[in-house]
Amino acid sequence: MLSSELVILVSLIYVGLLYAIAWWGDKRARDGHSWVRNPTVYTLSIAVYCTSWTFYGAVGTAARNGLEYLTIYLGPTVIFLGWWFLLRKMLRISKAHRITSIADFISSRYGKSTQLSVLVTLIAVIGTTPYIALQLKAIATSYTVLTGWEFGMVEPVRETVSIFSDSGFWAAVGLTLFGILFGTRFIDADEHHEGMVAAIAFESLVKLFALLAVGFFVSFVMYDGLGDLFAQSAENADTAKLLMLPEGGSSRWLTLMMLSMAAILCLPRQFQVIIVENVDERHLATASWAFPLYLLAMNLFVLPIALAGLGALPVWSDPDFFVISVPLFEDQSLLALLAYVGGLSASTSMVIVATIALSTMVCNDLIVPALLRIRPLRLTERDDLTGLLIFIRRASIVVVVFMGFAYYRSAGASDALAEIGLISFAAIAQFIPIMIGGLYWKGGTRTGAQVALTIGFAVWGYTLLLPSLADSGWMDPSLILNGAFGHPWLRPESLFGLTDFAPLTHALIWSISLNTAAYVLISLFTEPSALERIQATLFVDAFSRKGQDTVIWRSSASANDLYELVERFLGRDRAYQSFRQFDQSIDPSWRGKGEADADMIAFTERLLAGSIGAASARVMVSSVAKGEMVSLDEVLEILEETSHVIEYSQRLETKSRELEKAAAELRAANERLKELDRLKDEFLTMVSHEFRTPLTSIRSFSEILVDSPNLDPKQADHFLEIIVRESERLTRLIDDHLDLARLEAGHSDWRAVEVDPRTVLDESIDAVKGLFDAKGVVLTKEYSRNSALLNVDRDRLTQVFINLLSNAAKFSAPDHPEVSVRGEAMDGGYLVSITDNGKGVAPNELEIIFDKFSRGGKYADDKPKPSGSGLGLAIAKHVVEHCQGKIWAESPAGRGATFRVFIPGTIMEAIKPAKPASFGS
Amino acid sequence: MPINAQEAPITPPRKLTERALVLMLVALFIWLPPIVGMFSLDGTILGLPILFVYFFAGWAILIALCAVLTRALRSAAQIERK
Repeated sequence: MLSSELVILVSLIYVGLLYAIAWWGDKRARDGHSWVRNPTVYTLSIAVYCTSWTFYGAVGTAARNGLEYLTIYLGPTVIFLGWWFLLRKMLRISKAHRITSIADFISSRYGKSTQLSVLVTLIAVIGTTPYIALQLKAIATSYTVLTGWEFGMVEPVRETVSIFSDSGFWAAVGLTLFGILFGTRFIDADEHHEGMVAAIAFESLVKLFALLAVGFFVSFVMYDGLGDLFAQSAENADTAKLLMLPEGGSSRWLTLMMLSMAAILCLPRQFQVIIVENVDERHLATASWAFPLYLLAMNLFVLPIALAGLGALPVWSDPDFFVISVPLFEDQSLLALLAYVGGLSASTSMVIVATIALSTMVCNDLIVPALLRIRPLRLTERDDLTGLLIFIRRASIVVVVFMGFAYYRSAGASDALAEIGLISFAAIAQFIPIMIGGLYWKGGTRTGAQVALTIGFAVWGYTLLLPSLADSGWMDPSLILNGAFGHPWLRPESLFGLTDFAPLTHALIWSISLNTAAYVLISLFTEPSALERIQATLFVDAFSRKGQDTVIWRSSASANDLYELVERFLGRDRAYQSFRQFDQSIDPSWRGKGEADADMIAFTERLLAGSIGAASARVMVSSVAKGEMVSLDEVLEILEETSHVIEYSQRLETKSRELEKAAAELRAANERLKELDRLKDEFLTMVSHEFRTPLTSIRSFSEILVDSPNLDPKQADHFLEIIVRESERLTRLIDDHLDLARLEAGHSDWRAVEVDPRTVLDESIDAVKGLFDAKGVVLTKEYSRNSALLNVDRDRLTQVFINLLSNAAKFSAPDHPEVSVRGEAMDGGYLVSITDNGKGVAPNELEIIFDKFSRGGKYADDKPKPSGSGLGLAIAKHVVEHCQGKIWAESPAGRGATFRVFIPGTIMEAIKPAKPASFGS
Repeated sequence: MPINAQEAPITPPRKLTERALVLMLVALFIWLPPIVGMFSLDGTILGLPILFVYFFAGWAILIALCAVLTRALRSAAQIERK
């Protein structure tokens, strides 16, 4: 019904259309009106994940194992739902380091190691080969089904026909051309292939539309809706079991989930579209839900198509191609053609992206480093390398596609599509331990990563690839059955006696666990280099660091040398534009200056990393920039030292300040001690003097009495009176002195009671009444309406007031002595003022009079009267201060002296106004 | 060392980030054995097999939640950047 000419024509028109779209996309991007840079196109380009494995193979898997096919899409969904944690970090890092491929990513993390990038590239290329073979097989088989359905042909006959009549060959040639045309037209500084992304996004729409169209046809034309389809399937025992999970399939389910999660992160083509082709981090945010949505839509009708195919089609038809054969069976050749175009989209998009990603890796991480190492080629001195780079990439595309073709031609591709794809996934999954470890664990080292990858890949090859090749008859199956050297423990499909698992799970258990163990153990026992440590920190702490320039070059390179270096790899125009941007943004005079600064060297390295990979860029730049680099570690070390010094000096400063303070305190204390010593001497002199005066008079009068027995009895009486009075004075002096000593030592008894100061004042006035009367002193007293309650020793307070009153009487004016007493409640306490009208106190003595043995009366005609002990005011001061009060004297010149006592207490509001009382004598 | 000023690190409110983590863990939990096995039942919901409905309805719900959460995360990040 469908002639092969028509199918070929449609295929060619479709590929031409893709080419046009890609060309247009590139043109728009160059003109600066890119419509590729939006989240929808980004999401659709990620859908390159859905290859012909999905388009055809998922239906086949559904027909064999039911809903198991979903695992391949649920895994990526989980990763995208958690985009914030893993994909965002990878994206951020890749942008900062201008990562161009997964090999670049891994080698950058482990100190820009060339060996590691070579290893990753080899694994990626070998691992992708079966996957490309799968696409070629899908294209060839779908073509065969479409054109040969009526003759019962389900598979192209590879063995008998020549290569040139094999549709797979022409598919390979077409895809190679397409990859070359789009992926490698020029060497770009930032590795964005806008035209390719546009074509891929368009293909994603086509394959989704085609699969949905077949799904709708099956569900609503062949059957009466999904309910009807499922109901009919449930009646047949064979199809009914597809609606449930197979018994005991847990380990396979788990394996497939893990594999698909690893695949979306590590497949070179997924890395290319998700990370390298991303232009804006916000697009990833949209894709986080939009891509799972696409996957859901893609998978919705897979099971219905499989069930319909099983129900309607003859048993010899291959379930992998139900998407085409069901419409053909129903005589819907146009729908079948649409399905074929959808499948073609799925295959071509995968091969195009994969070859571009792989060719970049092969060129940047395999060939260029190798060529740089061959000194006789003098590559570092060649003029223009852009042509060479493009040639290497084109050659690698041819090699990669035809490796896939070789695998396809061998019988290794006889498996179901999904099984071939899973072999690829398992190889790529070997990147996971060193990638996840590298993103979150700073301890992972280059040696650890290399050994881990080698072991993982070797185990994969032995346990999975070898059996697959043996199945095809390319090698002796006895190795598979009996193990290497005939040892049963070395049987590839039950290594070390592990027999309970299916080959895929078995291979994955051994490869991933040995891989991880090697990575962790060797990392723990090896020392990373400075560069490795820098890169590890930059990768793990990608979000906490702002800077992206890791290494300062302490070297000399001329700006022109660097410019010429970039020119050789990027071409004249691109080098000029890049440097002009750099020049505008940073340094306006780079060209005139001979020496390039560190920024410019770092910029050059980043620029080159974008086109030839980090490891090669490093080699190239160091060939121009003579000198060594200062590693971040060294800088950190210097910083650390400096900060230590600063810290020490700060601590020293604090210490010396403290010492100074202590010294000042000591000096002050010393002064005080000296003063106290002086006071003590003075005091002793004074005490001796004070004691001596009464003693002298006692002694002299006693001597007179003794020496003159005939003394006039009247005079003798007078002398005895003097002796008694002086003895009393001496006793009083000693009492006062003891009292003061007790007060000073704090040994005296205090009987604090609540008293009204007015009562105490009244009592004191009564006590000195005799003295006042004898001297004829006029006393005025005045209390405020309010009073206060003081918590003091009543007797002590009386003592203070008596002392002050008698002093006032003593020093008041002799001719008309007057003393006034005022009591007022104020400011949370009670203030008592006792004023006399005498000569007053000299201003410089206002404080001294409260010291021991000091007496007022420094005015010229004021002669000291030896009647007091000289301790009264000192005692009063102690008592008042003990009550938290204050005592002080005021003396306006010539207007007498006022002694004030303030003692804190509780104010009492007067109940009724007290009359100001006054009395005179 | 020139400081790259174009993108300051974005740290949205911790709560949102934690929700995003839980969303991912829930997805992992419900799609791995033994939970998937629990829904391998004989019977239909609205004429569709239980397991089929379990997968696709759960898938759709998680996508919807992720869309809502991503919106919140992005606007939080934008506010923080200002």
